[in-house]
Amino acid sequence: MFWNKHAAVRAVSISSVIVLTLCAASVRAQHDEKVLIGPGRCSRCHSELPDEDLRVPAETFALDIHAKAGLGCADCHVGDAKAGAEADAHAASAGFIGIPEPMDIPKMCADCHGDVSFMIAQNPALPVDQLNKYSQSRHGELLEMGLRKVAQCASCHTAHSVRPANDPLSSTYPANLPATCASCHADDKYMAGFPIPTDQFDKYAASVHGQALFEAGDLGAPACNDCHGNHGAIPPNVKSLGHVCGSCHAMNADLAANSAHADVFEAREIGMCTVCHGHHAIAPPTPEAFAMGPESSCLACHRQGDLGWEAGRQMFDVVSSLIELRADAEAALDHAQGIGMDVADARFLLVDFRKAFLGMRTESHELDAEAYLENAAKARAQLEDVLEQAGKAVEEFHLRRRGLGLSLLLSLPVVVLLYMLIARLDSDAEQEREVEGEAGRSL
Amino acid sequence: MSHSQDKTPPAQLRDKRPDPLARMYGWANERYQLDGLIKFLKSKEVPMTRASIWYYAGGVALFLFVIQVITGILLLMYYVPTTDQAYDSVQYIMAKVHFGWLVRSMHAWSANLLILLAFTHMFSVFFMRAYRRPRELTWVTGCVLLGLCMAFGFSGYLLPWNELAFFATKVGTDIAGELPLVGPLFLEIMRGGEDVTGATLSRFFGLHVAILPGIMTVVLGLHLLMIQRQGMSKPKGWSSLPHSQRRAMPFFPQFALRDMLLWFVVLNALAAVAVFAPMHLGHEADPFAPAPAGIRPEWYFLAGYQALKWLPPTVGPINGELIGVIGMGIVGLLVLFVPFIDRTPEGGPRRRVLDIAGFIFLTGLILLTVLGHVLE
Repeated sequence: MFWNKHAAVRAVSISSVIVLTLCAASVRAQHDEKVLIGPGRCSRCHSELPDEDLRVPAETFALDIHAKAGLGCADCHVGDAKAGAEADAHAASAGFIGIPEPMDIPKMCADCHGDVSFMIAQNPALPVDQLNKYSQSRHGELLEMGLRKVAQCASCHTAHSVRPANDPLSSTYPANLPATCASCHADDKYMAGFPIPTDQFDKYAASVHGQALFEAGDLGAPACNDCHGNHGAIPPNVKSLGHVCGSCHAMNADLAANSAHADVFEAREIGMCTVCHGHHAIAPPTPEAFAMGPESSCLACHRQGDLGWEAGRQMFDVVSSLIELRADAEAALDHAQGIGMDVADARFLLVDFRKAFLGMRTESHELDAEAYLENAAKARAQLEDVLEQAGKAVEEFHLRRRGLGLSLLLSLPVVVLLYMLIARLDSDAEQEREVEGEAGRSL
Repeated sequence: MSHSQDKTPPAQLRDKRPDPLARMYGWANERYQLDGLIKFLKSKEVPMTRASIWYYAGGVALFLFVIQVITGILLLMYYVPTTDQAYDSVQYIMAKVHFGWLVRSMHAWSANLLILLAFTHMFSVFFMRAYRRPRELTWVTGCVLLGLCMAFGFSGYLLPWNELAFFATKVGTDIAGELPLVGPLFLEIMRGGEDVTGATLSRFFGLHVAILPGIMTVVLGLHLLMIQRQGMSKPKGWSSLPHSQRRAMPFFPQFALRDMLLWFVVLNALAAVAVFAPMHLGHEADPFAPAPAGIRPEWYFLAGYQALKWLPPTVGPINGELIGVIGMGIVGLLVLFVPFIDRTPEGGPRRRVLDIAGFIFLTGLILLTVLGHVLE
């Protein structure tokens, strides 16, 4: 018979190998195609378009966090990403929406970002309540009212260059965030028609918070979103101000909430923190705030001679004298160091002073004179200690000089004696030479 | 008359008894034959010429070395050679230990002065031709001593573990790593790894307080022994002078007393410098911080450092720094072997050529050092 058992087994084996190979090739082909569904196929055309608005997204999306997560253009813009021709890819029948309407963007993003089960699989650390917060934010409210230019997801996160907030290149990275907000809020033309100022960024950049973030590189310093919220951005109102500032300045907020000012401010709708410190342009505190002069916001309520006026003047006097004393202490340390003395320990005492001084400033929020003066006394004691140590260092220097003078004085007789001894020996030797010379001549 | 009364010497004899100092000398002389040593020292003569002042440089350098040893031992009692305690321990010495500031400042200043005096001594010997036969090996040991002093300076500079020292050591060891063939190995041995770390500090400490002092003691001993055996070198034309015109002083006591007077002045000058210009400690080294501006080695390495800075990165296919290091090595060898190279008779034009070469070398050293200090 032409077919035998072995030949049949061999044929089955060969067939199996061919089938398995074809299956594997098919899987590979499917995998390749999936890759092409992503930015690859759309970008083939878009990367060659002359119009920047259409070309640049195809270039930048490759680095977008969504592209890295496997999303493609069609996941937002819909259409047929597999199609080879533009007409087929952009066909309405394929669901192509082109540029999404601003009104639709928050919901479109929330399709994934609001889906708990989907987001857990992608990044469990991300919240899923952004749409909810956004819809209650001022931006969300205005968008709902039909204002197309109001900020939505892509305005802050960008549309095709979305990066995680901890990426220094991200538009939402702490150091970049104020500029992102300012791209709208500092634009007079763009903000025309909105009853809010446009100088917040400039004020913030010059403030203690802005300086800390931009100049000292302190990423923990508050940016816009830390006070206003991010997805749920709203201007803090008078009641929430204490809590907003207190989220970082907890001790000051607690003390202020227990102070005599708390009830009065609430009744008169005065911002607890902003009344003295301002908001975007928060400057470093100076004693002049208590001086009951032009820089004192206290004068809005207090008059000369009343209890608050007197207390303010007293605080001003205490702080001013401490600042003067600190300048004296630092100058004394510099002088001691300048003459070569070691004052490292004394300088370390200044750290303790700063702690007490800070404690004093903190206590000023409660208007508790006793606690305030107690801290002031501690701070003064530290400075007096520093001054004493600097004084001791200078005394030590003078002692060293006197010691040197004394040692030189004691050395002087030895030097003179040695000199005299040398002179006598030289003279003896000279005489000897002369005697020898004369003896030689007489011989 | 009692027995004891019989033994009492008569008054005229009691007056002739030697004083206590003489008795002590007699006691020591009986055991150690000091008379012979004093006779030797008295017979040793130091020529008195216009150049006699240069004879004191070696003695002052020796005195400064003794100060180094004494202050170094005192510092050792508090210094801790670990990266986390070295800086603090030096700060403690300067701030808390009684006279610690004086000891540390004198150690640092006398180290600098010692190297200056060693250079001065070397150049004075060179220009007086005191290295010539039979004193070739005295010169060689002197050069080795100068090298050892510089190694002491280099290793000691790192020990306070401050910022300047840390980065200067980094730069210095990097230059040593440029040596052909053995450079990378040499660099690793010096640093105890790839970078300047606690291992480097341990090595430099060991080198500074054990290895170098051991070698120094032997070489210094040989150097002094040779000087004592061969006597002071006589200046040109001395031997041809008639005996009556040869002005000289005995080494002991005249020259030794002058030496002592000078040492006394130097000691007081050091104390004054320690009071008015104490050595500052600077900031503690932070290996992760960027190198601060103006990092430069100690002044005695500045000339070489400046020369290396002026060299282009590459000369043809060869690394510029490598050429510089080889060049300096050749100059060092030439200096070391000067007595064997200089076979010219006393006087004459060939001698003048060597004088000019020495003058150019000295001027170059001073100029490069000053420029290295002034230029950024």
